Amino acid sequence: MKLNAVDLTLGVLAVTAAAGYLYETAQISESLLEDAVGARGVPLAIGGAMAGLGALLCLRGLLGARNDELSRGERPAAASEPVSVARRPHLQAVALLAILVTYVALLPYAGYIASTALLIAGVAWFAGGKRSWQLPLIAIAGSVFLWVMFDPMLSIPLPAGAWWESR
Amino acid sequence: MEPLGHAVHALVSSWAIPGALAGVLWGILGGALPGISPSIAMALLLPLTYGMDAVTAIVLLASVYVGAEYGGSIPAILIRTPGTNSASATVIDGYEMARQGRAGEALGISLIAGLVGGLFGLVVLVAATKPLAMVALAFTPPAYFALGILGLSVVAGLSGGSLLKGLLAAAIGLALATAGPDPMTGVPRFTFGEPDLLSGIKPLLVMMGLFAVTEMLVQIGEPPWAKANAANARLKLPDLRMMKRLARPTAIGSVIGTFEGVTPGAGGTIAAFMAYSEAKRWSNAPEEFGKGSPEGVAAPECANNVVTATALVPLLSLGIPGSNSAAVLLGGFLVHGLQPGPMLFEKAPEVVYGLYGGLLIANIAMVAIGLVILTPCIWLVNRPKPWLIAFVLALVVTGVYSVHQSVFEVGLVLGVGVVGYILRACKVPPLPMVLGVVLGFMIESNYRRSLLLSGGDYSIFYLDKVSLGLLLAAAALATYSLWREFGERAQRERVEAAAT
Repeated sequence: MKLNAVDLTLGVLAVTAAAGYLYETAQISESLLEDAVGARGVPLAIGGAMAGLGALLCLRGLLGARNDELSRGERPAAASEPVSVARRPHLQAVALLAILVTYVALLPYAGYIASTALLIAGVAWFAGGKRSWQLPLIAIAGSVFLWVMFDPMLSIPLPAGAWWESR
Repeated sequence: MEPLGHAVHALVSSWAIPGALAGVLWGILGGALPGISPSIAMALLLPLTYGMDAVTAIVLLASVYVGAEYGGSIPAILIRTPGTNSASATVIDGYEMARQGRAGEALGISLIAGLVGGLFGLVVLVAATKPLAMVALAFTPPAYFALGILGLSVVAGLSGGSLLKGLLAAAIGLALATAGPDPMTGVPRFTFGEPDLLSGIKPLLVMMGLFAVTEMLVQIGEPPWAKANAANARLKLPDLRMMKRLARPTAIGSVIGTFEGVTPGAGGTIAAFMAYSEAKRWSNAPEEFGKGSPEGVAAPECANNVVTATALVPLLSLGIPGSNSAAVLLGGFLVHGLQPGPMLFEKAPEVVYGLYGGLLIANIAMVAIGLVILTPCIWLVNRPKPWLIAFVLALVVTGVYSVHQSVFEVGLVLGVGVVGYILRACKVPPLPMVLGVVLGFMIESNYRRSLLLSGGDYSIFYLDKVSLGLLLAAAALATYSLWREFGERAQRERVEAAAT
């Protein structure tokens, strides 16, 4: 019998998330205004449902139930392709996410214009954009354009950056 | 005449008319870019609507939806890559026409069929929404709870082949909706000591993460799309003889688009394929389908534009978003403190009638803008994909930050994007999660309020006739969706068995 890795992974993730959610539900403090259901009642039901659905997915994964999507004629990529090829899109997504997380960390310190220019340049470069002198120029122009649109035009203040403000 | 007065007043006393024009323009450009679905194009504008009045904001977002459906047909016809999911059926004959040097003719048919579909859908929207909402005016807390359950029952039809996964996505959405103050006692839940979570997780943030960030995380690993050739793409509107030929497929598209649009969870893609299939069945020249038939372009394009209006029927009358785009539009309402549903006609009639007027303007403007925007669209489609991803992400983070000037919320949107990416990799549909987030508060607060009224007696849910009717409707809708899903699966298996 062949495992259904997608269902199994999803099921494990769901059960883990449900366990965390139920733990946090138990931490909710009680109120003097408490009704019959209480602040914990509905989260308990949702957490229980998540855990149950996760367990069912695990079971389906272990029993190797036929993947619904595969029955629609899609190719099982993991089975027929080298692992490096099948995993590449996920690794690219992780790398893109790392750029975005760096951006979020940088934003309060480097300010909007500098960090957004770096974000645009970094993403375009990583996604395979042409590596020429135009890349930083377009990134800076794009960042300034967005800043002008939001800050002076729509009067939405964007962070100036703690590094520049402290100087 | 009062509604007409409301509509005219709402349009002239706000920026709704420029909003409709800008929305159509943005929608066509966004729809023309493969990977930017109507819901993403709408979600990108959502944070910008904070500073607008409600009528302008809602008209702008709805017009993006209208424009994006036509925009999606441009790359479908020119480069065999549908710009939106619902333009997939247009690829079949549209691209064949382009190969025969008739791209301009196909684009003209798409534009006119879209106009006919959009106007027909608008008539259905105006006729059906208010009567449905009037019924809903008699709602009590148990009825509102049942309405939320009816909304969640749509999950069965949105599960993309796996009910378990659809239910799991809905449960995750409901779990996210419980963050913030408890609806009855105000006790903070799941805030982790973070002040930004004290008021809960806004549906807007979930939509931005699920639709825009997830899509970009997926797009980074996808190959670049083909280049469009502008040489044979001079737009040509159909003449009278051609219009006569297109009357039947357009009528078929209108009827199918109406039924699929008002059914939550069905959507434009199913409508387009069904319309294509029925247009072929009823055509005088079915042998031309698949070989560049103008009817094969008109039927799906008409159907998916009907859906842009009819999908708003359950949203405006009951507050149930039946598609991704309707969910983003719901986000637009929530941003302005408006809850679509039974009370909307009482509380903000100018928004509803302004939306009707705005949709009329948007559909007419689509033809005018569509005629002149083709060259910029082709230029845009031919831009390198890395720049598209970079600028979309920059716009997303800027838009999210601009809502509350909160870096935490930018991080939250990225987190939701990651959850969306994992769910997508596991073939879990995202819309049930959005439904859970949007409906969670309504379900919990009315469930608990009902039990408070009845002193903990659960019979209140079936003794209230409206509540009972809605719960039965939810059971019927879920059963119908399951029956349809199992029917389709059995049919697929028969086809596969016959093929092997």
